[in-house]
Amino acid sequence: MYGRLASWRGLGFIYKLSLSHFKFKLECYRFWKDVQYNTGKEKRLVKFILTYPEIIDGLKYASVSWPEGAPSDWEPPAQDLLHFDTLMTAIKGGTSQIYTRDTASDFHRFIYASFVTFGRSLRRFGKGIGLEKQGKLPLTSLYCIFHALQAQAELLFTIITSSTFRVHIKVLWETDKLGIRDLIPDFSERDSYRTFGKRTSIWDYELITGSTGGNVKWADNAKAEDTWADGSELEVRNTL
Amino acid sequence: MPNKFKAPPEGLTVEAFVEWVKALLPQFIAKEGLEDQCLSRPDIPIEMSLLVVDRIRYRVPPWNKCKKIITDALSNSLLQADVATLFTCLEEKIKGFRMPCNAEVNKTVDIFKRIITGRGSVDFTMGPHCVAVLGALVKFPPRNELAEDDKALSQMCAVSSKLYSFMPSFEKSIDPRIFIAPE
Repeated sequence: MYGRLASWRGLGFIYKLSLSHFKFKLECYRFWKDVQYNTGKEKRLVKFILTYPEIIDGLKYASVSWPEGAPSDWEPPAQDLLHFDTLMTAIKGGTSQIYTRDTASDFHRFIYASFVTFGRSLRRFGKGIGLEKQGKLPLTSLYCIFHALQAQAELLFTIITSSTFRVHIKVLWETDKLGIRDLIPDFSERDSYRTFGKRTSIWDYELITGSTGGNVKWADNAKAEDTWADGSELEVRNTL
Repeated sequence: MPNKFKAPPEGLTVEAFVEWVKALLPQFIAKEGLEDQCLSRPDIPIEMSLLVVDRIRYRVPPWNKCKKIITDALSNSLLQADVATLFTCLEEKIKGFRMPCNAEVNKTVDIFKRIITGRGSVDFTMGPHCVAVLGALVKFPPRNELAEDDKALSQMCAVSSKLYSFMPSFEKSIDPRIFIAPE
């Protein structure tokens, strides 16, 4: 699963989600009055968000990376934290459908933050498995890491199976001529995606290749290249 | 990969795109499907895993065993085929295959060459694909007969619920900072 999320397609999709022009697109959408959907399929998402505020709180760090050598009590600058205030207010207010013109940008950011945090959790768990095997991490700590991963996986699963996610994609589809193609990763941009993956602490050389090697240059390592764009990835690279 | 994901951009739909996004976390999607399957068969104990952490080494059976499996499969199908001719043709085509311009194809054919000639064992490192496991469960309930005499394959198809059972809830114990803290 980590391999798929950390592949050029997975990272490319998350990278595309991060682009700011979606906010502009959503603001320009002309048919907000017609946006109606089956809210029965977003109840699970609403319930999750209301039940697990700590997990939602973790999403605010999606744009933050822990500086090298920072002390354990380091706090990121407030301006680097992501907020979903409008969306949360709507949810806590018990609105009949949470996806509206006012909440759309927050929801988009919420999806992005969920993918980044899920990717980080997968990476952390993968690293934790290795450390635990080497006796460098107690099993209880690994449980804790897995616990966090499980929570993020549940959240992401709940998001992408909700009618809210579907209607968001539909709105993006209808915003302009390009529709959702702006969200589809492009194989020729894969180096940017990997840089993004490293910056967001999702991509990890050791986990991808199964061997240590530090910051090996993209073109210098055939194994990383193979893993990054294996046969099946190449086959479908730009045909979506 | 289903055909709809290979469709040209003109054929892209909202539904296809949502399905593609789901494909980024198939284990969890498959788990949901597996749970449905288990619920529909309450009398049959099925264990289920959320994640499989370690990959396993899988050894391809000798060519003679592969031929026997193919022969059995053909004899149980409606397809009329001269099995001996089929194997001769297959072996000749694979042994004589040349396509220097496509490394991926060569790599795959080379695997089959090694199986047919028996030169060196053919080992793969594999992780179970949960969607495939789900498909197998649906196709071959209640026991996966394909995996019966294959320990490695049986392990791949086995699912255990221990991960969920020792972590029934996560709302109280997660410090949000875990999502940025270094290892």
